Amino acid sequence: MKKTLLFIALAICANVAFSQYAFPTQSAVGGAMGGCGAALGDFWSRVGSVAGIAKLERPSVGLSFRNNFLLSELSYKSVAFALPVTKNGSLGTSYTHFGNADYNEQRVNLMYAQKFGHMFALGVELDYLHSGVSDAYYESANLFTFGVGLQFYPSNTLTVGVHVFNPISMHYKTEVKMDVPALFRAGVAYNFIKNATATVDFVKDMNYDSDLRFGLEYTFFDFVNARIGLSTNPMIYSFGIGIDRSSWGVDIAMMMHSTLGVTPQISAMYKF
Amino acid sequence: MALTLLPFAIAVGQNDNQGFWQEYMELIAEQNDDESVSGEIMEVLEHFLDNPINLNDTTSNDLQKLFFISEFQTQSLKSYIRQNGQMFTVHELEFVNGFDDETRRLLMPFVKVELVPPPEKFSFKNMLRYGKNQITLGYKSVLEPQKGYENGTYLGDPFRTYFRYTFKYKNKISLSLSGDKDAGEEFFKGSQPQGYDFYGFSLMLNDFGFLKQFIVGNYQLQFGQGLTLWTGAGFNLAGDGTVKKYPQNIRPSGAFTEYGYMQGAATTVGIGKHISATAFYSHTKRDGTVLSSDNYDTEEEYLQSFYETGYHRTESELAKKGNITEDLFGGHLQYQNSNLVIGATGYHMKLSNPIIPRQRIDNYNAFSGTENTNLGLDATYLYRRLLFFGEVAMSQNKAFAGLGGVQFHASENTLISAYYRNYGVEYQNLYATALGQNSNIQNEEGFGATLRTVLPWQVTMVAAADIFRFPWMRYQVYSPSDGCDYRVKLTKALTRRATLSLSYRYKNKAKNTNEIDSLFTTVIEPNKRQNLQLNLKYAPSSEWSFNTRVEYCWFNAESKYDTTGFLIAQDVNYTPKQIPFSFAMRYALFEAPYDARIYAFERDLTYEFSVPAHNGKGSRFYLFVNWKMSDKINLTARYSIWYYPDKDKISSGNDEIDGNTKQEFKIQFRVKF
Repeated sequence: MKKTLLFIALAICANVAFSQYAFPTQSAVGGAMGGCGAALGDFWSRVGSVAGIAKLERPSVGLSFRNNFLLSELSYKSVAFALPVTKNGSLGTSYTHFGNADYNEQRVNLMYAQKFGHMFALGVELDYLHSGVSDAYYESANLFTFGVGLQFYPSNTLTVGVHVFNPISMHYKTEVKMDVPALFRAGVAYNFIKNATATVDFVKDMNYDSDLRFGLEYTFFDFVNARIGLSTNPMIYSFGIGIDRSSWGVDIAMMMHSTLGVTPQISAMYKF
Repeated sequence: MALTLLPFAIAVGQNDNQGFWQEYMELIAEQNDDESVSGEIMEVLEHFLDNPINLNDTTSNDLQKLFFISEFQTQSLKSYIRQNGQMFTVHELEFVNGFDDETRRLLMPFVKVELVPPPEKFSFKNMLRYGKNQITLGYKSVLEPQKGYENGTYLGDPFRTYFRYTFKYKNKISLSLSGDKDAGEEFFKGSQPQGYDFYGFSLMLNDFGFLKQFIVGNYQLQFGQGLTLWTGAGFNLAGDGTVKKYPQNIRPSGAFTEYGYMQGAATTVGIGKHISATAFYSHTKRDGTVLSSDNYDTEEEYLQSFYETGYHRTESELAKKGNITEDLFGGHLQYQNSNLVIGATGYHMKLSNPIIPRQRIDNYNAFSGTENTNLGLDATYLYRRLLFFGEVAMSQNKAFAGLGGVQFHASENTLISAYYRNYGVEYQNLYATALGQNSNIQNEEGFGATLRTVLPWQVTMVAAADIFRFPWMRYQVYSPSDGCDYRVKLTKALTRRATLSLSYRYKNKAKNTNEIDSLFTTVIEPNKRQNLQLNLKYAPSSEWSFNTRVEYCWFNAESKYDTTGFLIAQDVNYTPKQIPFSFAMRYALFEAPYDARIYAFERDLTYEFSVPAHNGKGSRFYLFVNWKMSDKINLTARYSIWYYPDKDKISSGNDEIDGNTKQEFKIQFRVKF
């Protein structure tokens, strides 16, 4: 009982610290860039923004692991798969697990995204969320919700992305109302010089103040990416490095919260 | 919106234009929460969307009715046509001095180019054959039950319904007949045996020989710079850098404008080539609570102020209806040549009962009594690229108001303007609307400047500064005060299909502090509000267009907590070519305390208008669908919802809703024949 309460408290803490809920479809790429991702072009950001998978050319699979504040109880584990099914459309799915056996949150989603011309892609996701508590005193609960994403490519160097998750603010139908707040992200990624990308995201979680995030990426030798980033609310500094080859990639990131400490993240992907 | 009726050719401009309206409408909404005023501005624009102005017709003054076209530009266009003959395409505007990219973009949807035929004789046969009829029927309702209906305070049903019939023959004849029942008002029963609570009518004739304008019914009057007489719509501070107002003398009142209009007849006649004279008479019933004077000797019945909402839903609102009769008459004499306009305006107003404002120090100089006379002189003079304008006005109590300014078209895409205003503390006028920071034209001195130009990298900049002072007390400001209002907006076309704009506003206006004891210990403090808005419009194809907007608002006053408001919104517009439907939707998340509330323009039905304040924490969604059943028939509907997760009731008083959502459904049917 006491243990469960502690986990719930920690989980809330982790959510506050990242001002987001069950939304870790973000890899060490976005993580190293201040938590940005609405407009980024890597595999995991594409999965997170939903619309982005429309631009994938090959079937791809990814794994990601994040250990919030080095506490294994607060870790996120994700796996995602995306498959181009037509010339313009892609299907995708992802699974995320947060927490441990005593308290956990899980999310499964199905995605479909389609390109409309060269400049615009639209994606939709159907999400199944599960909140599990081992203690009989508390309830486990499930719910279905959805999300919509869109991306716009005005030029080869500029991407604009918008993603809305759970817009109708579905919440768990438990005795004590458990919110799953609506989440809105809008971002721009700009390839301002060769090899360098700057990105800015606005993030608004209905239950928290808005967050402005910045990220910068520089590519060395055509396959090594160095990244730094900043999230303003809460204040989190981040950096990371990654390798991106034509058929695989590995990225690591470190996020630093001034009070709660460091969060490492690692992710990997493979293109078939 | 009539926009959706446009042929595809200008549908690209349409989206841009919506953004343009948005900007103006939000500016107005911040200044006064008066929907009818802004609705009228929309009506004027929508009229010209349906009846574009022929640029070759140099005799018409229609172009000036589009408030973003300056005198210099009109004159420049006329002289271009004089020198080069009639234009063949609207794109020729590029060669006309003073029409920069921005102006041309804004203007395109409202203009056309046709050879001007020799003036045809007016005939009833042509009028009947070419006249356009339109009937609009509308319905709207809030879906949640509201307290006023449940406890019976609102006498009628919880829906609004209205109709409008218009007949238009070119720009010569326009007839409008309308009826409006607001939500909560009774319909064909009880207090409303005649059906609608409000009926509007106007018939306007334009350019019949020496008869320039003639109107009967409900109308609005606009002269000079608005210091002497200007009713209905008028921008207080322009957002695009133009400062001068462009009066139309007489125009029909908005079909659903339920107060503040003139009712009767008015006409403008031309005397010779340069002189015109306007005369008007209005006899209206105004709303207000009639009170009996404490002084039993005279037993005078008076009112404290007009009741200006147009709502007659409850017993007490009905008791205010039409209690005061107002007679108003006057005239305007104008001399005009190609560079100079001089006008003189005068009117006299008489009320059936005197106005005796509530005894409060800020009302000390407010109008009281039954009669008032206002006189004014206005002038506009165009000298090369400089346009001078001004007006002085006097009220019956011999108090003055004055405004003077200059607009300088420094280059094709640079407009600089500066102005000074001084509206006397004792100046009294119930029907003035002019440039300023006050809702009435009184007790204000100020000066300002605007600059519109194009910076390097083709970034368009509009910057404006206004500094003002109120020498006497105002409502909730119990001491003389001052303030400032600065705005800057940068717009950059990233590509042909994407436009990014960033705007910042800083406004500082004084108000009483929260620690108010009595009148004599009140201290005022600056209330500072800053808004930062980022807007990205993009249209990847002719069918899809999007708008992403992020806005912050910071509010700061010493006796209150500092607060921050935030809004993030996504608009999606989809106009498929294959099917006769078009869609517009928005999803927004916001968190904004009252002092830092954020206004955002919303797509709405024709004749309707919404720029709601986003206040509290929640989300907003709406879906707008237009079904073009045929060239002549249109069906438009809109569903919208507010969701406030933390609230268990919304609104207060009679509008209170038990719950955390407020949904609204509207539908409108329009047929043209």
